[in-house]
Amino acid sequence: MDIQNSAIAVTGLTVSYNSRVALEDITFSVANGAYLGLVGPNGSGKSTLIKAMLGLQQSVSGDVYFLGKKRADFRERHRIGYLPQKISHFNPYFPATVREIVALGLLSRKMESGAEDAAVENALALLDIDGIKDKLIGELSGGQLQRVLLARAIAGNPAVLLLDEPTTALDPETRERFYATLEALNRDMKTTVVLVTHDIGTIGKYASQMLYLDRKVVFHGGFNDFCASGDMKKYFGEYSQHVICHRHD
Amino acid sequence: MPELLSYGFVWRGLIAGCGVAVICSMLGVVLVLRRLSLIGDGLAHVSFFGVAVGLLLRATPVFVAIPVVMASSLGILKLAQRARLYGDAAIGMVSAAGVAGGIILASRGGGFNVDIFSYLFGNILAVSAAEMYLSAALSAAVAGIMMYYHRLLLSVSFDEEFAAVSGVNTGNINTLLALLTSVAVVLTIKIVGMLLTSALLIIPAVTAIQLGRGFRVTMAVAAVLAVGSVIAGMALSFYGNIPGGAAIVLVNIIFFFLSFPLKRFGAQL
Repeated sequence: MDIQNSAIAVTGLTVSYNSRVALEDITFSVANGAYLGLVGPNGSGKSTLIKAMLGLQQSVSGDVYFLGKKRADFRERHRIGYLPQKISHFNPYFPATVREIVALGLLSRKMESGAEDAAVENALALLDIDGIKDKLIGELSGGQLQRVLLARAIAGNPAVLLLDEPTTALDPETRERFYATLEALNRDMKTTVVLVTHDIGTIGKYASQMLYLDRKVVFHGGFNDFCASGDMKKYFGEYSQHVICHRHD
Repeated sequence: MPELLSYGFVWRGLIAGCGVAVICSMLGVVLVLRRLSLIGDGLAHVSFFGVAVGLLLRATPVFVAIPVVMASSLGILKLAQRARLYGDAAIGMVSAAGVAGGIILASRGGGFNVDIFSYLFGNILAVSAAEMYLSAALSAAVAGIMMYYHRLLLSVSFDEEFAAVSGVNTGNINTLLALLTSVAVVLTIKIVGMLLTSALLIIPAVTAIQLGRGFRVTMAVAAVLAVGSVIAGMALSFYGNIPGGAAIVLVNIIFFFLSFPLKRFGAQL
């Protein structure tokens, strides 16, 4: 594994809750600029893996590297963007504006206030939400809120973006727009994307690498290799080969 | 100049009261948004023990109560982490221990139990010069720290996981919040009393949350409302001959109910 030249590298990661093993000896890497689809059944440890990678979940053993550096030594936190499935204890009456929330993505970056304002405006424009920047976050629809959180995640111009089932609460149209934005970030900004999702159609459309997880790594490799894998039907059902592997572009 | 302002004790009460009103309301916004409102109530109960120790040692009660309440607030955090208790259970345990300790000391202390019970209700019109200087200095320090760290406090309050991913040491921020709240609670017991301390933390904050558009604006609105309530409450106390602490809290309640029609007519700030 070429840790130095990978956007993300995970080696021998094991996580357990109350002596129950949630993830066992996970090892994989993600190339710079790749779009990794992280899939697996419910309870397979996808969210646990993302949290363990980010240091939000303690691991028993193993290491995580971002851009060639061990996570503990990685100081440029703004270069890692994170979009959770939902904010725990989200308070709809929280009196913060969209602009204030997006600016939180720049906390670890030392910037002059003018440069910070420009970075926030840029993220708002990129997500097409500059028109709602003075709204309170409680006044937003689910789709708008998710775009605001994505703007917060990309405000620091991250090299790596980790998203944990970010479109669960969105209607199909909003979901498509969200994925199109994500693809544009991956294509134009060369942002490495790691997307946890059950939306296998989306994975088929955008992912360049696949990681199938079931408490341990079942499959890790290129998208085409995944599609050629004989176990596809076993993982995803009878028509999965068509749904996932037939690219609609 | 109104007659009220011609008395030194009124000025001392105003300066100390406005100082603690500002810090309680700013801290209150963070505590309410983080669903930690009752930590103020719990720490106020603990301050009963701290004041009792101070009186027993014949020291200035506030000087003894501040470290005692700070240690207790850290105890609440540790208890919640180590014993895997929910925060409210940890607050309940520590505050009960504080009251129990205070009652035991008061029962053994002979003459000072009259003094300790005066701290239950507070008296803004009986603030000494030393207490005024201490309140002003500590309030300025706490307000300065809150302003300096306001973005970290916003980040941790809105989404603690994201704050941690961003490199914020959320444990340190929680500790800082607990320590600042301890200072604010002890300074407030002289103004409104232990029984009403949590009101000055909670009510201006929830009123401001109704009206404020933005985190910084909400903190500023809470501070203005809290200072307004201290001034109006003191005037009520002076002219109406009613206890100052209760008057201040009542004014805050009135502000809260006024916020609803104001919000309905679009008066957000």
